[in-house]
Amino acid sequence: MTPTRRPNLFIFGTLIVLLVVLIVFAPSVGWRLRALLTPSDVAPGTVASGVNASGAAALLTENDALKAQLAELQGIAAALPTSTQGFVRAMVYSRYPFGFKNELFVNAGSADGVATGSAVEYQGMLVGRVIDVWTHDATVETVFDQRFRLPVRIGSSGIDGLLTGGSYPYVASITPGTTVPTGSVIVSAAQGIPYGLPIGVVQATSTSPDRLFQQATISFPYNINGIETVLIVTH
Amino acid sequence: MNYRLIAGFLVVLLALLVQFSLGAAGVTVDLVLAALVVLAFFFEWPQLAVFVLFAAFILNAEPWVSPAILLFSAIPFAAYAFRLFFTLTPWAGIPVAIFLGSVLFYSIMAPYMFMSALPLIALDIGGSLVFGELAFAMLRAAER
Repeated sequence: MTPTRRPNLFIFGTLIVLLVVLIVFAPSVGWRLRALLTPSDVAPGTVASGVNASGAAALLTENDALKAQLAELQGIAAALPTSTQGFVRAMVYSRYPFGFKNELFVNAGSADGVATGSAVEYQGMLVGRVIDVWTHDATVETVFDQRFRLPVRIGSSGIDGLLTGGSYPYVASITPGTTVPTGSVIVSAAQGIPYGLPIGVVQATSTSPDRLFQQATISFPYNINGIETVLIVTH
Repeated sequence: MNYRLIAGFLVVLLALLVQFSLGAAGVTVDLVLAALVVLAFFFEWPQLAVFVLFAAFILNAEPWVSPAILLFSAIPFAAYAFRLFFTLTPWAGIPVAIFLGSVLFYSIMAPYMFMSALPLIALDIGGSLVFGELAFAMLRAAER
């Protein structure tokens, strides 16, 4: 393709300078434009049809949180440490723009008590953990990131597994022969993360590709793209 | 009225819109990169720079300029150089440039995905190639 028109260097030079200034000094304007271009509805399949989407999502989230509490009371409550952590509420101002990461950028940082490794919750569910902290900002790696790994326990019997992140997160390394009921709640069981935070519920189980373990797909009662505020655990 | 410029802007806007919509539905494809690579075959560098910076302005997620955005911005200019040095017809040059640009982007920013999520990369590149041909057709139509 041979371009035929000679560009007006003054006009395009001015536009280039203006855009560079905006990128460096006013990125929030870009985030607002991006929010306008991004649909804010809940992804299909995350809530029951025929009911108010946001209300149903909230009920499902609450339901999973209650299941997690029940699981704790039935089998693992005795192992719960006395929790002394606090929380800081943070606004999600942007998301990683490319497909190979699933990260949220939030407006709380070290000045607010946020530290690397802090658990990040949305409506009582663990959605990720802090991986980078600045004075007033932090980066959250969500459970939908390819690199996310977290030891978890499943259901009231506390079956061990490894949460493996990605577009479709799953629990890997479940001992073969173990019965993992569909609908069992998956909770955190990792160092540095409060014990027993609900993550999702078991959707289906299968044998791992190497046939050495079982794995379980997860159903999440929220849409990660619809999250606007989170709670970050402070130590 | 320069219809080609308007078409170029619409291609970038369409890529952003489709990429964000698919992203909200859980499908991750980087169509904007493909759109900018196509534009590199139609425009001179000052116009291309405006399109690239506009896309970077919308996509930049952090309060600073991230390495990913810098690389993302450099790839369309590499495609521009590719166009100048290799005299391939656009029908052949655009898919080759999109493929090479996407592979380069993943290789530098997320090499682990070649091991753990090859189907996702294939989906991304496949979607980018399809969108690239669509953008090419739009720009060709605007030239007439």
